Amino acid sequence: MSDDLNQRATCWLKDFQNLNIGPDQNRDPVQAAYQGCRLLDATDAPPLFETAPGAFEKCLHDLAPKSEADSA
Amino acid sequence: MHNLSLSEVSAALRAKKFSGPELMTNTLKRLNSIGRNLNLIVDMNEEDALRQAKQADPGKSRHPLNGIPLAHKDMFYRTGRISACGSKILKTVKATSTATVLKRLDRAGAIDTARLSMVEFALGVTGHNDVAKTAHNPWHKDHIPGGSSSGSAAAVSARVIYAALGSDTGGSIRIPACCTGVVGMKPTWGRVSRFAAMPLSASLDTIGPLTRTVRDNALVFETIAGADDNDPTSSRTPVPDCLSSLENGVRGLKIGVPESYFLHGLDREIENMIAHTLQIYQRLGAEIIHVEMPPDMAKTNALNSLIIATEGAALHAKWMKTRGNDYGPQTFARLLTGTLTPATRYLEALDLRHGILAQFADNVFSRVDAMIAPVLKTPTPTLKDTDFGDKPGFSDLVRDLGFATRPFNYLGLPALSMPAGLTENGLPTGFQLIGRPFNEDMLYRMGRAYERETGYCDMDPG
Repeated sequence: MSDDLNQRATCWLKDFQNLNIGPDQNRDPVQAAYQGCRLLDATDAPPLFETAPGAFEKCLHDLAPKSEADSA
Repeated sequence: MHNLSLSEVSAALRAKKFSGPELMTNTLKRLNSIGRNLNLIVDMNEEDALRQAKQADPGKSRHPLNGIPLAHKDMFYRTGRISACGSKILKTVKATSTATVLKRLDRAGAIDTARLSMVEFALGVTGHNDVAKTAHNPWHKDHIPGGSSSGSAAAVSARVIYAALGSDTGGSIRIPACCTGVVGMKPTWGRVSRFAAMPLSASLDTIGPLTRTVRDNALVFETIAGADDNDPTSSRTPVPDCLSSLENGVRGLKIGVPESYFLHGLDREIENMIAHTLQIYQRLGAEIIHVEMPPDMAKTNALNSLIIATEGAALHAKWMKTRGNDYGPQTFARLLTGTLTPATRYLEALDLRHGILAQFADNVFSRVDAMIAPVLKTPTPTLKDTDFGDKPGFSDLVRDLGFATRPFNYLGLPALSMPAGLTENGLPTGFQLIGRPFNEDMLYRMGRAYERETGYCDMDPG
């Protein structure tokens, strides 16, 4: 895990001081967040800048059956 | 009476084979005995339910749900009533609005009889609940009922209620449906209003029915689906008539089999179940076609988890700081992952969906009418084997359980979980059919054909 993420994670965890989260805390949440970010790094996608607003919702609706032939 | 399906009991009620109060009395008796024994009941609405049963006149309303006792996952708010959402934190909080899905069922004359157990804040796929009751699987108490709609699935399976609503953000209708041998529909994102239902992840949450039969499921789905002014994310796409095409069979239809990801690493029994299911569909006249998955398909499970964690953490942030000790350890740990994910990465995860969905549609829906996939990799596991709480490595185990369900939440697609017999451990198993957006009617038609051929929807835990 990178030092940067480790440091960021420590700061966030300290934010929850009243729960006594410290070095012995299960590192799973940190690891899971780290793995999620690495997965995104490995994805070859165009930048968000190029995505039209509501692209996902539009895609869903464009794929809906258009005619009786497409429906059951 | 309790062995009848929802559609059958509705017809019997209309034909005056028994009265509404008789039906309700029998249902309440079973909820109080079997339901409580299985830890399915959070609270019951006995007095009001009986009053409604006396007042309901099957002759007055033609709606098949009129006078039918239903019960739901304890996350659908009703004004003045507590919805604990499987938690300690909401155990005493009364709702100030009523969920649209409940209003639509009320309007149809269905009677809301009880609040059913669920996983804490809908964050869990096994059914374990560390702060409230863990529902039991009526087939075998040592095995998971699945989650997070654990009580809903188990109650329908145990024949203590005729149908129940659940929610599905990463598999929470389909996994319990699979584990308990019932039918569960995760609709298209935006198909069913989420107004006044407990939120977990707004980009992914869906609401759907769990029932014993496909017809029952289609009936409840049609009743709750459709645009709602109170939920601007609900779609105005017309709700199809799912019942009229239900018996059309599958001759001439095409069913996709994924070439990668979904059928890899499966337990032998699950592999055999899928193979047998495909043989049945071929015998019924469907064409089986192998379809390629988008290159990023394997990432959608983890990306779905990332979105759930982040949106969930945003909802729970204040409570995590002020009432952190009132969460179960796994719930808290999963939400903590969300607080550690940068917002920019979360937005990237959301943004990737339309590209992967377009590729999936290109590869799959251009060639087939629906795709098949398993729900779980293995036979229904035990509570003991999946009681990993927040132990080191739990994230990977949780992710593994939802490997086949989360991708379709991520892509917003409808998916119908169908019972497919029992595995060697005596527990139900099942598969899912994935369809085009807003094409739930196709899934019901395909599910019904399988159900008619196999009779698995009549499996009874006894």
